[in-house]
Amino acid sequence: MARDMSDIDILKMELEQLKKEVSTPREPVSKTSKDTMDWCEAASGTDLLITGVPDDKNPYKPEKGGWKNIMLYLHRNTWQTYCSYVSLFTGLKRLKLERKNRRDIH
Amino acid sequence: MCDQTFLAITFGPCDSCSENRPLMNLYIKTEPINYCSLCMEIMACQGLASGETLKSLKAESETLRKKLEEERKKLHDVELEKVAEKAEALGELNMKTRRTLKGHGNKVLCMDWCKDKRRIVSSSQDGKVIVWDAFTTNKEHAVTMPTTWVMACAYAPSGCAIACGGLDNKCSVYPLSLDKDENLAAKKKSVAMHTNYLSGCTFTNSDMQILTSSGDGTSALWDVESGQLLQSFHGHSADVLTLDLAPSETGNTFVSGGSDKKANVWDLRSGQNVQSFDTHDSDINCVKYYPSGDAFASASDDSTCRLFDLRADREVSIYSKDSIMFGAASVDFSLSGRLLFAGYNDYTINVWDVLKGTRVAILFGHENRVSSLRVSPDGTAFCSGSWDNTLRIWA
Repeated sequence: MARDMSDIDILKMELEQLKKEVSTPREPVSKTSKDTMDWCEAASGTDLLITGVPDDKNPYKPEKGGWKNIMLYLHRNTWQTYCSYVSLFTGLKRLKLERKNRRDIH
Repeated sequence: MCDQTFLAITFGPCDSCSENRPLMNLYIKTEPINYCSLCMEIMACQGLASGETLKSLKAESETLRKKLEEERKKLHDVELEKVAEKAEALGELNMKTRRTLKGHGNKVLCMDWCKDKRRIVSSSQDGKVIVWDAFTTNKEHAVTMPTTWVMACAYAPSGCAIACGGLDNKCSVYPLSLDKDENLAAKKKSVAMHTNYLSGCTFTNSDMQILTSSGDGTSALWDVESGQLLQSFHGHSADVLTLDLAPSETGNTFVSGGSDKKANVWDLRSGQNVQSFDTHDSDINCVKYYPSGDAFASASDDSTCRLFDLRADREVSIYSKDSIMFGAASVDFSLSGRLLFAGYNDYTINVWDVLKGTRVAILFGHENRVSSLRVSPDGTAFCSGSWDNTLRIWA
């Protein structure tokens, strides 16, 4: 649209716009800057890029593929797998015992 | 014989239609005016005031512009930096690339976050639009557009659809399904129709309306279901390169920036241009609202980023350095608005302190221009897309 307009039309458009703008209400910069600053300070507690996020809560902090983190991941994972196997094993053993007890009773 | 006067035909550019035609020389109030005969006819039909010419219009707009400057100057009683001296200084920022998203075959042109703070949609020059999971770097969906240079992409607020467009002059909406094998291209819906390339698109507060900006100099609001044009915004005298919607608490306005070096603020409902700012020296590549909605920042090819206050109706801060010679392509604010991240064509990202006007950090890592930059919705990280075919997540 703008490319098809002749220079006169563009100038007319700009003129109309300027006429409107001359009468818009404005506030002094001292007031608006202070408001902006106050808003910013009030919100700064929630800005995680400034305050930082503790490593365990930040989903991005464990860098994928970092060599230290691979070791940590494996370490954590092997312990978890071990624990889950242990609990599975003990659970199964308990089940076996219960079944044996039931059979003995009957 | 001697009193025969011959009309010398002058050939040249006409004052009103700027075409090379035989001109008729007129004198209006001793001012020589050259119009071609066609324009004379048109003028007579239109009933243009005889005094209205390019020159008089230009003169009138100059006086109005001066008046506007004066009005604005009256209110410029203090600099933002002075007011910000009381603010606490920022500590050391320790930001690094935490994830690199590789998979695009060509320049990444645009990206957007999903409201779930985890998914990202990005579009590139080769026509591919990819939806990533930022935590795991997996690609969730990939669509191939029938056009190259997909310059705009956006995620719907619900997370169920994406919109994208570029050289095909239209904006297409793809609903995302959980089924990975489903052919997304089959469900495509063409929403916007412009007469030139699509430079920016964004959903409004719902999935039902899309706001687009185009190289044809207009922006438009469309209804997604019917594809109907709800409102169009004319006012730029050149390509509109970018747009941003006001944060929802503050109402129905949006700001657009263009190649005519102007940034305009529009009212969504009436289609009126409410405010206009033209202090940049070159094309405005990106505009972003301040989180409170009372100001906006712009990034331009003149290598500066500027902060414009909407209530004071003027530019209040410039973020520039003599050592930065390349244009800025993209900006975004952190959640509190204290930090301004800007991606430049010299492959770096500069982090500015918005209140004090100083640069806090430079981030290196990309191997080509940084084309787009967005902070995640919860503010934990930001993502930058670059012409080196990758996206990087920094935290």
